[in-house]
Amino acid sequence: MSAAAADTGGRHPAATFSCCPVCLKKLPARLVQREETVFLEKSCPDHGAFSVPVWRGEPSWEAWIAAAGGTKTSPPEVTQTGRDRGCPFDCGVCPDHRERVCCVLLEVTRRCNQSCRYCFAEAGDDSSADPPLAEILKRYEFLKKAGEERPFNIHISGGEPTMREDLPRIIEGAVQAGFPYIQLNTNGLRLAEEAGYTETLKEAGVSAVFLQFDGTGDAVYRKIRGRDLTAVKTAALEACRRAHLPVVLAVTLVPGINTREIGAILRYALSLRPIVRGIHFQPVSYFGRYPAGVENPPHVTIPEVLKALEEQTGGLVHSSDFGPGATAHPACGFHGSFNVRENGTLKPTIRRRGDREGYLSGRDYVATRWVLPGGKAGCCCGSSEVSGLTGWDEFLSRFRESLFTITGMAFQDAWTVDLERLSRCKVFVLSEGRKLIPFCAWNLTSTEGRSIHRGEKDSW
Amino acid sequence: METVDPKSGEGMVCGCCNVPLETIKVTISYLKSTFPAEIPGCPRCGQVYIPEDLALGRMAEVERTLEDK
Repeated sequence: MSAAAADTGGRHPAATFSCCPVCLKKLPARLVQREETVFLEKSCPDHGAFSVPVWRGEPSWEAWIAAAGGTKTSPPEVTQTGRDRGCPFDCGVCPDHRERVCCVLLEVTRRCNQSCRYCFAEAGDDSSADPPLAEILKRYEFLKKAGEERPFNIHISGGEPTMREDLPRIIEGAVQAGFPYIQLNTNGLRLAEEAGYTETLKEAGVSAVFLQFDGTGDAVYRKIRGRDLTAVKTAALEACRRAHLPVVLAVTLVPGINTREIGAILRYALSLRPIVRGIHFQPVSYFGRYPAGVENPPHVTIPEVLKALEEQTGGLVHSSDFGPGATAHPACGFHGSFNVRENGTLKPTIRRRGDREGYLSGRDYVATRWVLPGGKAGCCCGSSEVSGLTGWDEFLSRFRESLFTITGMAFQDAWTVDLERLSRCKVFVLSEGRKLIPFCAWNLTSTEGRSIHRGEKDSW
Repeated sequence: METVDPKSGEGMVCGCCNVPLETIKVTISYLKSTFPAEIPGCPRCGQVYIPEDLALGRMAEVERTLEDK
């Protein structure tokens, strides 16, 4: 087997830095290509050598990185922390970060009504108090000031946000603060079980529901979530349809559990259009809670997801229909945008890159694709152009209703983290200390269960 | 005298035919998508006028949507 440094097209260096999965010490690392697989390799003086696949198959790593070559990076104008220990310890945003914020997650609770075997937030019976509503409103004000040129997209997350009785007030607060896109990340339990709840959320102003959805049968849910959930998901989706509340299915992909269901999940999602606007695949990352005893945990890489999408749907979509995502480093995600034809086939839409600042492109992409036509964020009504030109409106409405997005994000855990990628992250979590911390840095967890940033409250 | 508003196209006259523009039905085509629309145009020669509001508003929105930007 021949070994050679990955040619990253000059856009992503083969020499980078990572962390030790055991102690989280910062380590020099290299991206090494062997045949069709790119490995991240590093060695800790205390815990030994690690070699983890981060890219496997076609399209090649080089071609994929090159495809994003025209995207400009946009370093933040204002940073909140200085240089001290370097990436990933100085987050906040630090002066070495190379991208502005696109989306901000607000963890409004650590409580959850499920106890999943896999949970990056390690949520459950956490007795720590939720941040009060007044504090959340203050965080909105902080984020408004930090939002460069346009308010961030807000993801209300947890824990399970619907555990909070004041969730509608939290959503209303975000609307009143002027955030254009407010996403609710949820397992759907309360949406399924409480009559009128989705209507309440809709009235409060939520833009879209990001619904945990791992498969089309209970066997998958038992393995990943520890209980049967198919009926719950079905009921939650029906409740969202009744309330006219758009949904994106968020699929955690665990090797050997649901990676053979990718095609079936896509077909199911398409059958629930237009209320289901898209599907978002998240290859499992070993953050927070995951089954014990995993020494070198298996990772699904982006090309493998794309290949599965093509093969498991009989060519309904092709891997060439997808490109690097707009909300992260190109190796972190993929996206495809499609028009669904009347006969059910998918036509990829044309995407032109590179002529807008990447962070704006990413914010707008999310805010216009994951809402319903006529909905708030992607609305084409109420503006002040020439009246009577209904053909334009009808076309936009029909075109947007036919849009369906297939996206994915490969989060970086302590095995796969590449600090070059992390420095270009655009998805952030706002800490209790009001630092903006890249999602993967926030969730980075050692095999011993330690975090670098999660739970910090120090800076305010 | 009628007020001319280049932003909306109101009161404009066709430079070739010297007749007032009217709202006419046209077919808009861009990136293989086609749809009917009504915009200011000359009822005689068929030339259309794209008002600034339209160019920066709906038309730009359609362009962005079709280009997936």
